[in-house]
Amino acid sequence: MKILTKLIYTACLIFTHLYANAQQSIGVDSSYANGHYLQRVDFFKKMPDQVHEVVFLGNSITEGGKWQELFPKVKHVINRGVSGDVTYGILARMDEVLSSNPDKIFLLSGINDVKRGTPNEVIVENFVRLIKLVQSKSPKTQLYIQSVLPVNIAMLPATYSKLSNEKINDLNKSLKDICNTYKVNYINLKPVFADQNGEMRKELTIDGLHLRQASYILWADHLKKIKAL
Amino acid sequence: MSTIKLFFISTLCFCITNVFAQTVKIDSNYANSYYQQRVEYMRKMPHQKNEIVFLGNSITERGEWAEILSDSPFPILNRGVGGDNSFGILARMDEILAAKPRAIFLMDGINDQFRKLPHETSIYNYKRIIQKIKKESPKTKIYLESALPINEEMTKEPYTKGRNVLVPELNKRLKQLAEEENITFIDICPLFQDEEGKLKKEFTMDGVHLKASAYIDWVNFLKAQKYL
Repeated sequence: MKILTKLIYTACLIFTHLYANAQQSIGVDSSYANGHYLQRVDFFKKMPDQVHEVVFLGNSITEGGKWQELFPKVKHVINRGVSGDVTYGILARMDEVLSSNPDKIFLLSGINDVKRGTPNEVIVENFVRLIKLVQSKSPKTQLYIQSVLPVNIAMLPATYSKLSNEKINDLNKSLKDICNTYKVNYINLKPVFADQNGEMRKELTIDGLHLRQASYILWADHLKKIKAL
Repeated sequence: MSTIKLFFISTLCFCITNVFAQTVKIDSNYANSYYQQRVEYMRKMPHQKNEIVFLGNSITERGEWAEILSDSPFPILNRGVGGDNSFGILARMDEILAAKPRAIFLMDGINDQFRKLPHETSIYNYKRIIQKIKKESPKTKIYLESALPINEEMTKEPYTKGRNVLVPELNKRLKQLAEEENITFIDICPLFQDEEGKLKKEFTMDGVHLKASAYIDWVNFLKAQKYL
């Protein structure tokens, strides 16, 4: 008995050690509940659910769009962008998004995860969890996963040093794959925003990542053109 | 009095005026890159009939007006520009008025205080905005809203310090202007300020801007007063 206890204890110790090491070496930062996030979610929860909602879901790029104005003929367009949000943060607030059984969700996320250095495999895993959540809790909702927008490296501030278009392209390739696997709509926004080198077109962005307000008109036009909305 | 003496006195007067003019420096800048890209967008968007326009600075821009008012039969437009001031709003009135909107809810003021614009200048700009609306779109209903107080215990930026004390006087003059111009004045302050006239902590993250849910209270207030 004593030996067995010792063995279990040792095994636990080794496992804990390995686990801690693994955690450290991957170094995934899954935090999201900052002040801005919490006050946005507080608002979302206070707003009544409507029938036939069309949800724009994502980070600051989504939050910055005046979506209702861009789609004046579509009823109940709502902005569920949260500046700074990551895939973990979106997962954590999906209950609020899905409780209205929305008609459509337009999701754009991933760039803040990449900015933190989260490996693409982890980001894609979170997308799979998101897809499964939508499909199980609101099966009639049409989910559109939009490609992560290219960045303009030369224009980016230093805090974005972990971003590269190679990494974004790789991520988008995986996103397209899981969309095929799970029968979800994939929208490639690259043709709208990228120049011939695959960088975000200078004239469309403020800082290499965020969009100038008028760039949202091109985005909305694209969604109309492909009849997603 | 001799001519020389007169000349001396008038020179003195001129000098005093000059010194005065220098102490009340007026910063009328507004066309920063953020402003320009917002206005570029506004100009590209088609006009709609019966627009209800929320006009102002970042406090207006951050409101999810269209969602909160999704039951409105009229299009809801956000015409807030982060950092904008009374000069900047005046300069973009053409775009707003070209649509002949049904109503305009105007809230501004705090950025004028941050740059220490004299109240006379702010009020004069407001007056020009109001008169422009009346002239170019006489059917537009104008709602002039009070400037919001701030909470300096929560702000970090030096330009916010000592400014909240200026807000009540500005609002007094705005109310007076609304009476002179025969338009509706809406005092928003009671909704969001504490008994000392500071922006209540529970409504703000940074002492200046409102949390997203505060706009629900704001809209409910406008509805209760039958302005919406």
